[in-house]
Amino acid sequence: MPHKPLLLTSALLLCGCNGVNANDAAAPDPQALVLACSGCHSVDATALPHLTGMDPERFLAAMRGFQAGSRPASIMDRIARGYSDAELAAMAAFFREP
Amino acid sequence: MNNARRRFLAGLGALGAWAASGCAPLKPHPSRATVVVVGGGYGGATAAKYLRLLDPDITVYLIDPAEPYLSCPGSNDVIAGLQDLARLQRSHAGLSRRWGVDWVRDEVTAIDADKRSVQLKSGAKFAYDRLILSPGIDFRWDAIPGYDEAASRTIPHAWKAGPQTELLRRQLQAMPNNGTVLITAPADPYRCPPGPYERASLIAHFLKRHKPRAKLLILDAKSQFSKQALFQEAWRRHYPDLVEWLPYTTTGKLERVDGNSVHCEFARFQADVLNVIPPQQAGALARQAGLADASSWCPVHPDSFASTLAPNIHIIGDACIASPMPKSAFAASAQAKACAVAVVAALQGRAAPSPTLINTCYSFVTPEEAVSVAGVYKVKDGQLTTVSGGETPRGADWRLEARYAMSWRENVRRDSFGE
Repeated sequence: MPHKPLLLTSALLLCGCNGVNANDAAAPDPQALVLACSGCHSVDATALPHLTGMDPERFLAAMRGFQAGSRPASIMDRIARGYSDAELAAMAAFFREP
Repeated sequence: MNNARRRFLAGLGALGAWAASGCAPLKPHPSRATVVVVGGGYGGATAAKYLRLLDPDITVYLIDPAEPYLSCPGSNDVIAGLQDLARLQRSHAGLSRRWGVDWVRDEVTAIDADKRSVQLKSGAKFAYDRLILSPGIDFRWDAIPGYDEAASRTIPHAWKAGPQTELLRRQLQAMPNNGTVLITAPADPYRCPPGPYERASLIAHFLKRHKPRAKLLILDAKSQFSKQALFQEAWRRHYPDLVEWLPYTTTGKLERVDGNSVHCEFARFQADVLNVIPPQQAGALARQAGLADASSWCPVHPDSFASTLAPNIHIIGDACIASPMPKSAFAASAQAKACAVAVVAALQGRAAPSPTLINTCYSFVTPEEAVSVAGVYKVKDGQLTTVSGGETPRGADWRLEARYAMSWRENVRRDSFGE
């Protein structure tokens, strides 16, 4: 298994995402972050908001509200606290519709 | 937006238009690389789909003899008479039709790690660049004297969905009105840590309605369990005097099963319906291939779920050691995605990003109310670490959690099986 710090930058260059500065070696890779979300949030038919195409500001406001406990929740507050500001920003940019 | 991201968002979101338009990667592809996925449960199905989502040039074989797969999530509903077994069916056909997975209905009998190939029961051999195993669990039939595979034909474990699930349901329906149901719960680790207690709750719901003079006892090899305070609150509220939890600290250890009698060190119990949930281990294929350690589970690198014991082989789901993640369908699916990212990156000659994994396990305590445990996991110092999470907080709306639980079940059948 290769060690990630050496090649993180190249992974970011290849992931082709907007809103992430590929020169910043500490910038999170949205692909590694957003996949887990689709366990609950994805295709039609669910009771949960679609993340694809969500406005970045709306996404960030919701996640910050969950983190602070100011937005009513029983699940997302527990999950949102696992993500840093930089990770949330990368995810917001990823979900934004082209 | 580049193609990879477009495909990816389509996979995450409303993929209908994109997939239906014929843009889905269905065409025969010059295979730069071949990945063989063994095991078509939540872990293997998700891995196969996400490999194709992330890189449609990779040839992906999904090998499993069983079709349809029967989902364990939801199987306690069947036991309690709340839905039919048919509702647990998950077909692999969507993975091949919509995602271009080469689905092979066969059984892997041996793995040759040196030659990077798997041997199938039919005689065929498949070569791989990477192998992903999602073999699930096997029972340790030697762990409880008196309870072996033969005994399970009349005393169900019902811990893999199928005929056992229906056998336990029939036995509950036929039980005397003042009968005793006894569930034995194993020590950690095992598949679905809160499962025995959800099962107890939903069976209690059935008993309350149909056999109100009956009792349900849980003999537990643990002195504490997943979502304990929430389950015990639910039992006090809904099933007082019906459900009783007896940890081994009060009964002594389970020594043997003799027909419908369970002998513990300090006490003996007679059941009208006995459900033994036996101790477990990694699925046989992984153990026979030398991928399990002395614990009988498979050690893996948490960034990629690559085996620490053999090259080019990854193990995901219940069979791998991913503590503190529980052995759940949700966890298996999250691990499958992280593993797919790592495998695709390796095949493309680049390093994989370190994953962020999520698990959320819902348990129904009545047909309308559920409680949950959630966690977010990252790799720190080479170990999976919980960075946030917890159980349903005090005062939460259990009916809303039940809606989320049903929503998850519907979503994950699409997310994992591409249905």
